[in-house]
Formats: sequence, C-alpha cells, structure tokens
Amino acid sequence: MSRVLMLGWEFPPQVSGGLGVACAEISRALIQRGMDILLVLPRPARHRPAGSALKIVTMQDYAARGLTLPQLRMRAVDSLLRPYLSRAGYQKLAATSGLHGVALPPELYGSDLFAEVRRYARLVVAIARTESFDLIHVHDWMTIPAALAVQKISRRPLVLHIHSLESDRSGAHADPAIVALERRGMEAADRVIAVSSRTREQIMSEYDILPEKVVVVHNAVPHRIRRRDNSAGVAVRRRHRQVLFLGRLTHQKGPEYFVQAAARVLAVMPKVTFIMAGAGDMLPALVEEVSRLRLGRHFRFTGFLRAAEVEALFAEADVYVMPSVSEPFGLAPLEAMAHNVPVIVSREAGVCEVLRHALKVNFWDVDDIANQILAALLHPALARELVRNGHADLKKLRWTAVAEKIMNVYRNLSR
Amino acid sequence: MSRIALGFHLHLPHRLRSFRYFDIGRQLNYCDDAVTSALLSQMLAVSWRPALDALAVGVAGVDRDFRFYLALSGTLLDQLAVWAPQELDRLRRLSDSGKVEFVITTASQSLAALHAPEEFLVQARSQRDRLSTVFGQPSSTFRNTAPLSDAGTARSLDKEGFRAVLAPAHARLLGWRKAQRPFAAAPCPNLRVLPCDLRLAALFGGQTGVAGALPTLDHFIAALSGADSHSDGFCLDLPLLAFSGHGVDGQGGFDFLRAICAAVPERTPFRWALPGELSSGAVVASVSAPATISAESPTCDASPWIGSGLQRDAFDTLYALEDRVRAAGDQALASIWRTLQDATYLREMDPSTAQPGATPAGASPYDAYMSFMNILSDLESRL
Repeated sequence: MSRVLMLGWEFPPQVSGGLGVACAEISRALIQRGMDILLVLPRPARHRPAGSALKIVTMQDYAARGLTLPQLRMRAVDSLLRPYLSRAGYQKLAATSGLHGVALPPELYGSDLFAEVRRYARLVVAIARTESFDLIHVHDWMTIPAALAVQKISRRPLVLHIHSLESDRSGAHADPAIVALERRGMEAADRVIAVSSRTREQIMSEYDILPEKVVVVHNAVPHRIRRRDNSAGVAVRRRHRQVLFLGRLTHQKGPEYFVQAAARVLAVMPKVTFIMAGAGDMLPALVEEVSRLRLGRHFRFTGFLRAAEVEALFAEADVYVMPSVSEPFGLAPLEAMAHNVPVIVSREAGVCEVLRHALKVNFWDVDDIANQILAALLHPALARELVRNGHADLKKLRWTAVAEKIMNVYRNLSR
Repeated sequence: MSRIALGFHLHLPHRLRSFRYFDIGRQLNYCDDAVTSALLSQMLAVSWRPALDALAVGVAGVDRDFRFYLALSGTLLDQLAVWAPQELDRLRRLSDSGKVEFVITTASQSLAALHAPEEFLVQARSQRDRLSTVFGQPSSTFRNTAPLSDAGTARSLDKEGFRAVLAPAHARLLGWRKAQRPFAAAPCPNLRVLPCDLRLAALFGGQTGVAGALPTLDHFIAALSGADSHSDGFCLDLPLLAFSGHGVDGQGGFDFLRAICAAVPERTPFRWALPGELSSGAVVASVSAPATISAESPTCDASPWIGSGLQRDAFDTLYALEDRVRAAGDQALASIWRTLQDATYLREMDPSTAQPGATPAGASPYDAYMSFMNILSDLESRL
C-alpha cells in the first residue's frame, strides 16, 4: 500500500491552525519514508475562469514557491472549505469571498456549509476517478462525505484521522448533523486514527466505535519550529512581563479563563501584559470583559497572525498559557517550548500525554492558572528548568515516528 | 567471628498541603495533618509494627544474641507522641532489652550538613537529647540523612563528641580497600567511620526500599558469606519499610526478619553487633570523603536532592532564611522552618521524575516546587 489518496487541508504557508500543520507534516513524513502521496486540498480559485463549477485547479503556486516535495503530488479543489468552519462561519466566508470586491455568483459554491461539503465531495470523486491509489486517508469531518464516496467507487480501505471532534469544538452546542456525519465516517472507516488517548476515549464512548478499530498516533513537533529547537535557554526578559494566549478565541480554547486568571495575576503583579493572539467568535465578549474589569491597558488583542508575527510574539513572551476546555492535541505548546517559553497547559489537552515538562492545570481553576503564571514569572529557576527539560520532550516528538505508526496502520489494512 | 550491625531507619515526612501564591499571608498551616496521621497509621499497621514485633522476637531469644540499631527521625518521634503514643512504649521495651541502639540522626531528616553547619549541629544535638530523654540510652553513633557523609560533617561530629558515623561503603570513601571494617575518619582520628554495605543493601532494593525486592534467606546468607574475608565490623543499613508487602499474605518480610536473627550466627562467620560496639575497638586505617557521598543516590552524591536548578533554588531559599529565623527568636517558626528542611521535599522536586499525562494536581515536581516556594514566601512574611 504505497499509494495514498489523502484528503488534507492546508500546506504551508497557507496554514490557519494545527490541522493544516499536522496534515502537511504527515504528508511530508510519509513521503520521506517512501510513500506515494496524492494530496488533495480545498482552495478557492484566485482566478476563476467562467464555466464549470467542477473545474479542478492545479497547485502551481505552491510549486513555484518551492514548497512541494519530489514525491508529493498535490491537487487543489476549488472550494471555500477550511478547517474549523461552522455554519455561520461559512456564510460569512461565502459573503466575503468575492474577487477584487465583487461578490461571486452564489451558484459557484455551496449555499451553505453542508452543500459546500457535498460539492467538495463531488469534486474529489472526479479527481479520484482519474487517479490510481491503494488507500484513502482523510482528516476530520468535512472530508467524510468525500471519503465515503471515494471508498464506494474505489473499494479501497479508508483511514479516518480525527484531529478534533464536534464535541471538542462546540461543547454542549454540538451540531447534530456534524456529529452524525462523524459517526458515519467512523463506522465506515476501516481504521480511525486519534491524535491522543483522550480523543480515542471520546471516539469509543461518544460514537460507540470498537476499541480495536481506533489507534492513537500523537502529533509531533512541526518541522518549521523544530529548526528553532536549540536549547538556548530563557532569554533575558524585560521588566514588563508578557503572558501569551495563542489560539482561536472560541469556547473550546478557554480564553475566558485566561482573562479571569489575568485579573488575579494583575491584582498582585501589575507590570504584566496579557496578549491574546487569535481571532474567533468570542472576541467581542472578551474585549467587553476586559473592559468591564478595567484591565484594558494590560491586554493586547492581536487578531489572526501570520507565522512570522507569531514567532515575534513567542520571542517576547515569558509564559504561554493554553487553558483549553477541550483540546484533542494542541501543537501550540510545542511551538512555545521550541521558542524557549515555559508553558502552562490544560489537563484536557491531548498534548499533555506526551509532555513531561509543562505546568498542567484544570482549565476551570483560574486560581491555579494565576498561581502558575506567577510562579513562572517570579521564579527564574522554574522557567529555566521547564525550558531546558522541555527541549528533551520536543526531541522525542518526531514526525518520522508518527509516519511509522501510520504506516503500521496501512500495513495492517493490507493483510 | 566477624561482626555486622543490622539497622533500620524509620521516618515519615509530614505531608505538605498544596500552597498557592494566593494562600500567602492567610495564616494557613503548611502541613496536612489528616493525611500524615492516616499515613502513619497505615505504615504502622502494614510495616513498622509487625517488623518491630518480629525483631523483638529475635531480641528475646536467649541464645541468639541478636541485636540491631534503629535510626528514628525526630519528626517521627513527634508524630508518634501525638498520634500513636503506645508505639513509643513498644520502642522503650526494645530499648530496655539493652540490645537495641538508637543512633542519632538529624531531627528533621534535613540536608543541613551540606549548607548550614550550625543548624546541622543544632539538629544533631536536639535529637541526641531527645533520644536520651525518651529511651534513656545515649548513643554516640550518628547516621546522617540519606546517609550523607563528607569530611566537613565528620569534623563537626567529632567536635560534638560523637564517636562514630555511618557512611556508605562506596569506592569514593574506601578507595582501593575491599574489606569493610571500622576506619578512622582522616580529619579526626577519634571518630570512627562505620561503612554501610551497599551490595547487601541492594538485595533489599537499596536504601529507599522502593524496589520491592527481598532476597530469600539462602540468597542473603550466601551473599553475606561471600563478603571479603577481612570484613569485620560493618553495617547493613535498611529502611524498615523494605520488609512489608512480601509473600502471599504480606508476611514474608517479617518471617525473613525472624529467620535471620538465628540464621546469620549459625550459618555465616558473622555475629550481630551494635554500632556502639563496632566503634570501640582499634582501627588500622583511616578514610576520607572530601566530597559528599550518599548511599541513596545512584551517583553516590547529593544530586537526588539538589541536582537540578529547581531543587538548588528551593534549597538555597530555604537556608537563606536561617539568620532571620534565629533573629526572630520564635520557637514555633523555627520548628516550622525545621520541618520544611525535610530532604523528602527537595527530592520531590526532581524534574527527572516528571511524568507525561494529565497528572493530578500536586503530583509533579514542578507543582512541588511551586507549592514549596509559596510556603517559604509565606514563612518569610511571618519572620
């Protein structure tokens, strides 16, 4: 089983979150181990020719940037889909995806998120009919209809890789249609890969999937940040300290707990700035809460940042906090550690399963979050030790090992 | 016949409560007495009481001449006095037999010898006085925490009138010598160094006793018989905890203790002796440990307690309070400060013991460090 049709999400530098990074790294690592990967990515056409809505766009711009690998073949599907989209998010995106300010004709893309998911599936099937492959490997719910359709026409084994579940993203407000789709995909898949044991437990308990069908393959340290992993130690910081939150400002990521913990820290240590980097539907409420607490001068809301800007933030940060309510894995702490920043992570994060040298908190325990932020700021020995030992954690998290585990899944399916 | 001193150390650190930054200044207790007393009851029931009963049977044997020593921490004596005074009576009965020596330790099982020589002697003296009062049997043998040993500590003990000190029989101490016997401490010839056999101790899981190992009687007898033929007058220093939980009924370790009392003099060239007896004879050589050595460390140094940046920071911060504690003249605060010197707390901060996973609150070495440093900040605010 050396030829894999992979329905991925993003490829650097077009990355909006951990899913895109993970897909790209998995593809890269599998190729390095001799696999033949056809990576199919959703991407809205920049210059849409008149005519068929089923037009397939090649990824010439990626190749032009030198970002492809020799054995990596990429095909782009003209679609508005992107990771973590909600129904409302899709409507907003569709309304703003015009070309040079001119709205696109509504018939080009799906009228709603599910219509677009179905349209994407049809486009993928069109690609699959022209390609030869031994196995299908897809990532998260939006690829499931496409995966099922391709599985039906090709009769090839299907591997469903779960990076996050609807219950992670939406908590109590999970969309039943998405949950149903996830269940269909898991039931139809020959193997389900979970990014953490925590996610595996959810898959088994919430979706009634048999344990022997679900395999845990933890993520690893992204290639881009591994290059920074130099154990240089904690840099000399300014007197005004910075505490960083980086992630989507959604309920899943627990930004409100970060704000509450910040208020407790500032009550005893005023010279601290709290940076909330990311965009999301909770932004207005968070700004309002910070304003209500009269803490505006201690906060910076950056909005969505590009990779270079994120790097600059890490370079300035004294502590990174990830108070996620539900986090299947969570790559950002690894990035912080690679930038010599001590990390405080929620015990609900799958990344905890592979980290020894991080401070761990219950996301709801804002007193403890504040306690740990203060400890990291007040005790240089603690920060140094976390950073130094954290690099040892990072060294163990290799994509080559991830690829090996995935290839074991492939091999088991070929028997 | 050659002589061997069998001894056991008993100590239960007070469990510290999780102490957050926001607890500073709230006049909270640092120790969780409920947890500690429950642990004490458990330790007594499953380990110490049955083990001491087994040893008492050996001591009562008329022909066997079995004898042993105990190293009780001051912390444990405090706990027994409050939560299990009947156990002190049990220990007094052993003392009355004349076949049990209560060697002196640091009262708080501290590492004061590494950094605060004056405080070290305060603890050694107070423990000597305490044991003399409780058991009426003054010992002049010292067993340091861990047991750590170095030349500086030897000088301090010599000046304080101690006649012998237990030390791990490591090559860093004995050099080329194979035979284990009492030596003179090089910097102070009147002080005897009693080597603690590490090879035999390893059969029981080492000094910590956490490995859960227990040799068979035959295995132990064979190992002891295989000691260097010139060895005469060394110690086998073990945690009493090492004898619990063995065998189908959990009694295997206690059966072992009952059995060796007679088996050693009958089946080996050795007879039992007390440390005080070993230190009374002449010696043929002297040894020295310029750097600290410990029997509880795989690297034979103090690194399990102060080997990381976290531990060193906590250790330095703790002893930086010494002058202020003395200047305050508050016995209660001094007692708290000494409680915090327990080496266990430093060992719990060893980052190499950190585990992956959503470890419970308070379970990681980083949690231990943060909580401990908050406690020290609180104590400092009270001085």
